[in-house]
Amino acid sequence: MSPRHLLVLLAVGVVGLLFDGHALAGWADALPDGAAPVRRAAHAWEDTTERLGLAAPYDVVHRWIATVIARPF
Amino acid sequence: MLFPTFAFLVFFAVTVALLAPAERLHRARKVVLLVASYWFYAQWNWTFCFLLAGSSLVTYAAGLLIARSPRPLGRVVLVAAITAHMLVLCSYKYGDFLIGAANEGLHAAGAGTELPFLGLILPVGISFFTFHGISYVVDVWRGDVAVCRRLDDMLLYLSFFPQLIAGPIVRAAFFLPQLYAAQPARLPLAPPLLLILGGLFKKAIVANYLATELVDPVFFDPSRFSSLDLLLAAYGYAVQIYCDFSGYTDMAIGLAALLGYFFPPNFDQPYRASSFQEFWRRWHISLSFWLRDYLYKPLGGSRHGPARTILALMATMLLGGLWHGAAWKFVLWGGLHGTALVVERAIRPFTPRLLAGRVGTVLGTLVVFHVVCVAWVLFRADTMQTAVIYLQTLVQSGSLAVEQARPATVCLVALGLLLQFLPRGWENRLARWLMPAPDWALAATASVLIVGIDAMGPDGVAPFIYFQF
Repeated sequence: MSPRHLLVLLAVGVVGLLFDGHALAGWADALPDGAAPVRRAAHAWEDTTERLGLAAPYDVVHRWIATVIARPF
Repeated sequence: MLFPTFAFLVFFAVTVALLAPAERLHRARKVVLLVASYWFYAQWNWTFCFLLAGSSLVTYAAGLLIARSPRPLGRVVLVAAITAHMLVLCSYKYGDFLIGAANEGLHAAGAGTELPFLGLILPVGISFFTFHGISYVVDVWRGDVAVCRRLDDMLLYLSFFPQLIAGPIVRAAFFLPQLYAAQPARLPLAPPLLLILGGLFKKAIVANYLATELVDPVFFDPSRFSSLDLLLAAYGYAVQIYCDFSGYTDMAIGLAALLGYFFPPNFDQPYRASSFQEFWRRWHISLSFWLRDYLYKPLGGSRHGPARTILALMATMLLGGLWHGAAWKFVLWGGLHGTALVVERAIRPFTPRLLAGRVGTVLGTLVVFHVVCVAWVLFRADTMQTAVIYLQTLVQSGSLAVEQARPATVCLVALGLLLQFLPRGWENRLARWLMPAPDWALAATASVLIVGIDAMGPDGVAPFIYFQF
């Protein structure tokens, strides 16, 4: 595993944390009962990204694709 | 734990972080990979880790015994090892199927008694690690691979997490030398990233939307739909299963490459095949070649006359069908493919010269694709009755009304089919074109695309189709 590969994982993690807080919260929800603090922190982070508008691009794309998929002939 | 999830990203990042300090420590690196692989497998059911370890131990011991024993004793060990692997596989996978068939026989014979069902949970990936084990002991017996002398290498060969759950089935002669190497290969960054992104797109967007928006509703009650909807759903399933499975193996190959290990490709644009033989050289290549080398050829292959060839072909395809699951629909699916291969072989000498050219290729591609689609209907339908209703309604309804298919799903079907006819090697050319790009640009692009694909996919991640096999 070279530093180049670490860079990719780091980038994916950072971009994911910033713009895809839903994925972090979804992952935390699936953790066992003992991980309540992690769950709280993940949901707090998800709320923060929404408040700061960081989640907006994700939500816009998600809503747009749902509209496209549902459009009938 | 599925590849396209945040949980897997966390798991992979932790594994990579633990591997980084062990970069130059050959043994430590393998221990990290081994622990990570067993932890990955334990996420489904930790008790099956003992089964995986037991399977590895049997394989390891059998390899050593075969290598050290005289030929006749080695043969006995080989047969015992294959029997042990098959007994485990059959007990978990086919035990209740065989008991059910036996009970039906008892009912028909008027016996008032029933055999009790085993009720075993099928361990995920059992078919794949069993096939790895069998191929290893046979290869040691044949002298095609040097015996593995370290238990940790064997444990890692059978459990390496990128290929553990749904393949590809990587031969020992291909993978073990990579494990023995003091340093893992330094593979370039662009090809694995492209594979992972492509696999993610195929699974999270194409396969998932086709499943939820077209295929699942139509297959649930095919009698409600028009011929056109049924036709599109059959095409849709052909694209869905291709994108689902090839997407998974693309990600597996890409992840292994990020860890420094090289896997051979498992799919090669299968729906562009103009013959059934070609189809099986392009679809699930690692399983096709496994069946060829460890079943078809030992059964006689094509060396003992036409009758024996037909027998070997049919037996291989029927067992290949049964490998997919303990149900008659899979046997029928394998039988249909076997029959197609036999008929193709029989009519080949009489094929007019006209069909050998471009026209023949186009016609062959159309025929092969549509027969494969009919076989997929048998494969996908929940019961044989549903499959019969599906095919009957498709032929008899004649209605061209569109209820379930939508422009987006039709575009996804078209996209999936278009992928089959792109120029050969286009992914490699794209990867080579991207190689000079700076690392930060590749990393940033990959990050944005991964989040973008997640945003474009439906909520939740459907399990991979081949996990059940």
